[in-house]
Amino acid sequence: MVNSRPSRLRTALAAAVLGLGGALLVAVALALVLGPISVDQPIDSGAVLGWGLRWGGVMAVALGSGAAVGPALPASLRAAARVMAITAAGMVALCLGAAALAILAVRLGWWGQDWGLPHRSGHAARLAALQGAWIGGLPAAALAGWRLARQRGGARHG
Amino acid sequence: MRYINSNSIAAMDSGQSPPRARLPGWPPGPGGLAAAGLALISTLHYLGVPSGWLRRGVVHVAPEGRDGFLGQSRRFAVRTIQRAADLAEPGETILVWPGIYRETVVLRRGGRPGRPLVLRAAIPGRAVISGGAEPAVMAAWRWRPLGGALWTTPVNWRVDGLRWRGVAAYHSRSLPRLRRICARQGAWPAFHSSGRQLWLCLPAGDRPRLEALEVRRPMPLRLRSGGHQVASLWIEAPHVEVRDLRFDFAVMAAIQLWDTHDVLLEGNHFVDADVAINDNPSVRWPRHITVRHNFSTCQPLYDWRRRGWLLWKEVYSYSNCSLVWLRGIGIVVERNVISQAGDGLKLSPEGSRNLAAHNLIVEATDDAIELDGAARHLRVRDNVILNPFIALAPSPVTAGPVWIEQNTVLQFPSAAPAAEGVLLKLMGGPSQRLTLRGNVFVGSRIGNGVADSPVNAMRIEANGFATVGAPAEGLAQAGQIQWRANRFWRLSRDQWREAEHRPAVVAAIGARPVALGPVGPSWMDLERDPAAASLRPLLRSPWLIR
Repeated sequence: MVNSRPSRLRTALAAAVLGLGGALLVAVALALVLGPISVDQPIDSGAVLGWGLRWGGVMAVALGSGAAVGPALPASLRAAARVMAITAAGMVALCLGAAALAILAVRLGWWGQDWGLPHRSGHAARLAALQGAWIGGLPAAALAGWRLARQRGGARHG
Repeated sequence: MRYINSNSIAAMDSGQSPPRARLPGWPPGPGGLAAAGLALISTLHYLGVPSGWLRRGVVHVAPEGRDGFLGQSRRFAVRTIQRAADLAEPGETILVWPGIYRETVVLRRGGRPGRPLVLRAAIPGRAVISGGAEPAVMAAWRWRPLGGALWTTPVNWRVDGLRWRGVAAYHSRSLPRLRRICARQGAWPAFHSSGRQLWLCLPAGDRPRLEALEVRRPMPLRLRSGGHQVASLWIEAPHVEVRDLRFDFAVMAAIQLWDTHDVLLEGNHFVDADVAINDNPSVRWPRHITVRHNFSTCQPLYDWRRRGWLLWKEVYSYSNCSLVWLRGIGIVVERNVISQAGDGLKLSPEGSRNLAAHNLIVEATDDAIELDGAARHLRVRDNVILNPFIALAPSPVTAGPVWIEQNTVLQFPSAAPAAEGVLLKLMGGPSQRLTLRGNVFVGSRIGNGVADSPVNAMRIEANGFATVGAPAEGLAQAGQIQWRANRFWRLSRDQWREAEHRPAVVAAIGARPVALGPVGPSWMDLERDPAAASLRPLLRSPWLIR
């Protein structure tokens, strides 16, 4: 395998595009899931996509670096795609888990009892999911980059 | 230990300094440095690092700006108010330069005590937050005549609001009804829309023209009725001031107080909002909200009826057209002008001191001031209400106390085809701890009340009433009210008509011309501004001293 600088750059760019695209897909999925439950306040899809773009930037750098930076052989695109898919699934699961916990907290009377809203559960789920996404974004990106770097084998030749 | 080899250990054993450990890939090459730099930049971008230190306390917004800028000057202005709101820090002012901003803004970050976040127009009244759609979307519409002043075109969404030559058209809920009202004498522009088709009635023989037409943007799907969950500006943070902006053609509410306190809304002009300032519903009751010197005008509900085109029951439920619909604590609503309202002010504060004072409310199709719910510790005083259908609707007030003092309410027969309006509506449930003191009312009759809405601890004292009807006429609760030291004057129809032009006719009840004082935005000249054109004949009334 020839590991010329252009091939490393191509790998990094391809992984970055995967990271950005995957992050945007997660944002679209979040907007679609949260839309119907955001009864009292319409979901701001522009803001959710804005988060997706920012997270996409972080993911692009993390996957691009994880795939191509360092002495090891560049990662394959398949490996990068697999890591992105796992990260995206994990992020969606994190948000949905946070939303489910928030709904439970409202139903049990632990949260949101002073809100003057007709649909408190929906508001709580929306808050929790968006906060989960925001807080989880950086660790998820770091984890994804590290995981992809770990999967690369061998050392560069020449 | 991974990077320390046996030579190093031997060196340590012999007391020598070990050779420096070497990490694989260290020092990083150009690729590694680039990756580290990009990681730092993307992380800072993700976290939204404060940029206020790059500005001098002002974030500039201009239609020709770019959202990639930081807004530190007009030259480097951002393009959207939302971008400015995301950048702004406590104590900063978002300065909005003239233009039409077709966006929904969410203020997620506010100010701090003594350092409010200010959103204001650079030139008062010339920065417009609009709920209107881009005119380009209408360019593709293909109108065809249906006969009888009706036109139709395919559309891409259900049109909820439409204006023809700057005046709101009546939204008919069905096509047969549109045909009926379009055929009436004195018809105004009206429309009906399904998801795919728009029908427009232009009774003056006009043809649909792009430059005369405005439509609202698509409204987000409302999943549950009753709320006003669509607004041009959401305020979700405390310590905010909004000044001198024009909110035009709001999709529903102009400003939604979602989760906030310590808010000042001053000098704004609201046009065609269902509710200009709303908190219903909100996450938490707003606290310490001051609404002053604003101007609100709505769809021509009153004119549709006055000109004899639509019946009262056809416009009554059409729109709230209110300046405020607020609960909350510490609410002050003063020196506003409200024209063509459904219900001018809807207030039910929950505690602390609350005030609605020195407002000018003209031509309300339903209640000029509606109080309901708790309405604790509310003082309604020194307001001037001209030609309301009902001036005060304090019912049901479940808590009180409410003091209604020194207001002037004038209702004359020229105002509507059938001047059936009253001062007081007591319907909808029991009310308690209400006091009306020192008010002047000239109009049809004092009250409209039904027996199933009893009152408790209600006092009406030292007021002057000049009415066509008898004092207790139509007021089923008259016997439950404590009346004291009021002056009554039964007017003949001729005297009623004459009183509109000669306040002296009713001087016997203590009525006299009212000094209006400064009302409305300070930047708006009510004598010249086109937005106040319909007000001017009323402002020249001999009842008002300006």
